[in-house]
Amino acid sequence: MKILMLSWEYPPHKVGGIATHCHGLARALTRQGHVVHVLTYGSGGEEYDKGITVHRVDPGQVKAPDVVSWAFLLSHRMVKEALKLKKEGFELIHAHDWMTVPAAAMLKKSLNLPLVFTLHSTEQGRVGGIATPLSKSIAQLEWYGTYEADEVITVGRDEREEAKYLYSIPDEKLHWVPNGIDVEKFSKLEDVRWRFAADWEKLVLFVGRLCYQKGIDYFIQAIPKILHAHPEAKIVVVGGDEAAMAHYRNVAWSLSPKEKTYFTGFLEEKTLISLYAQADLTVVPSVYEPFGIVALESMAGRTPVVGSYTGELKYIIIPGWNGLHTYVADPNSIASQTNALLSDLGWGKWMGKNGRKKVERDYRWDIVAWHTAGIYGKALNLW
Amino acid sequence: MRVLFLTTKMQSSYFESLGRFLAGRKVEVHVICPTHGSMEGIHVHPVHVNLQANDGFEWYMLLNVELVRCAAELTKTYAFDLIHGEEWCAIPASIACSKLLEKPLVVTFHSTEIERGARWPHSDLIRRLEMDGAKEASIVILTHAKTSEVLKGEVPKEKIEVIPMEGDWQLKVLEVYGRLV
Repeated sequence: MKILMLSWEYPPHKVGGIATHCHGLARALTRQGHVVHVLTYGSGGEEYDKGITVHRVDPGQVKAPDVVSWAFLLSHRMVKEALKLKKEGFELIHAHDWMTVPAAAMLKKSLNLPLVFTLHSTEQGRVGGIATPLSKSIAQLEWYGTYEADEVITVGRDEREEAKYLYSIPDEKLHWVPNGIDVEKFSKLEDVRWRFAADWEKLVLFVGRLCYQKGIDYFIQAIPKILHAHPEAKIVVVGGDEAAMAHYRNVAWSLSPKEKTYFTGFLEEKTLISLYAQADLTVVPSVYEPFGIVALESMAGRTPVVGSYTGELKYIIIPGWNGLHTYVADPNSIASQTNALLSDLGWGKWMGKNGRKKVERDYRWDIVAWHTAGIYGKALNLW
Repeated sequence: MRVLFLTTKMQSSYFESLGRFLAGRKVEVHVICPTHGSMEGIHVHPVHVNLQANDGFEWYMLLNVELVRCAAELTKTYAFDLIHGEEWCAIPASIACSKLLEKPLVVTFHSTEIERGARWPHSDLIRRLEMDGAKEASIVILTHAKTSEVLKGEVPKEKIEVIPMEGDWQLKVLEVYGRLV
């Protein structure tokens, strides 16, 4: 199949998990013999990445009052570029998330192609309700994407039910296919632990955007309780922009000793992968998490996970076997489960090995791509 | 000759007058616009925005999605020779249609965002769309001479035609079409 993939983020431009998802999926589809062109944001025009053709369009330095206006400008640039490529003979469009919906709606009709739309999360879930005009616009675009699409994919089974309820999506066109992971990346490790903790410290890792959705507020409240039981613990928080990091660092340092909580900001992938593998456990305290790729990355690094009982984390974590669950938005629960693991690192190592087995078995990109290609086939009425 | 007009105005007096004139000269004119009415001698294809827009800019952009979708549907029946878009608010769809059909694009500006004061939050985006339209068009028609001062240095002089809406202006537009088709 010849696929035109639309995504507003694609490596090296990464904001959330969509870039990693599109990259992993496109590479696996290419390995399986499909031809994938990715149309995305960025400067640099056309480039080739292991069989994938990446076309980048740049709206330029423009002052947009909000992200929706900017997304429309990006969509129109994408349409212009895609129509120049129509001689490529694409068979299907696969659009990712609301930002590409206007482009997908125009291209579906212009190129007369079936449309598959992946909803990576919902606005309702991300911000906890549709309370502002901007959120309303984004939610409408999400609905429009699901309405126009021939097939809709969610990345989690709970998210599937949420999307069905929010956007009245017919069952027969709604699917869930999990995120995948490139486990091979986790075999090339560097010694990075010394940069983040002393060798006698127990390293507790948090990775993610520093925002309410990711549960950082509750994790920070749990830190004093963790350090009270385990003074030898070291909390390492990876991710977040400068402003968010400054805010949360101030909160954390007002509650616990400065030298025990290290906010690293963004880390390059090579370092992060090694850090996952060298941490004693990873905490994923999300309030809302359609999938939870951080949990998979931790497991790929053979590190156990303490994660909220929400979204796909409910199913990725098998309590006592590859990690532990916590109640959602509950600092006491986060602290007690983290402390349980820190008290028995041997158990943690055993759970880490089990986690690795699980990701190798269930979440390789090749498996994800096979399932996705099956949905493409349905959109094309091949079966 | 068959021409496709794209506008976001419910009743564009510019296209209505031009279309009526062209129809009399054996030019088949189609217009896609958010209208409820009809225009004498012109094939009118109405489109509507079914989503609620947060502001005017968003409404125009949603309307452009509908303009493109409607044009794509029309191309199954009609072979157009030329696309003519009016003002910044129809530029994204006009460019898309020109690329889709691989036909020349004419755009008309009655004024630019700078002339209007450029004082609202979306002004920078609007200015960008105006420049996109001017860049992609084969000919840029200006209905006021002063607008050419604003575009000086940004749009090649040979692409600009100042045709005020007076006298036999419609004939001059037809001559522009004739050069492109």
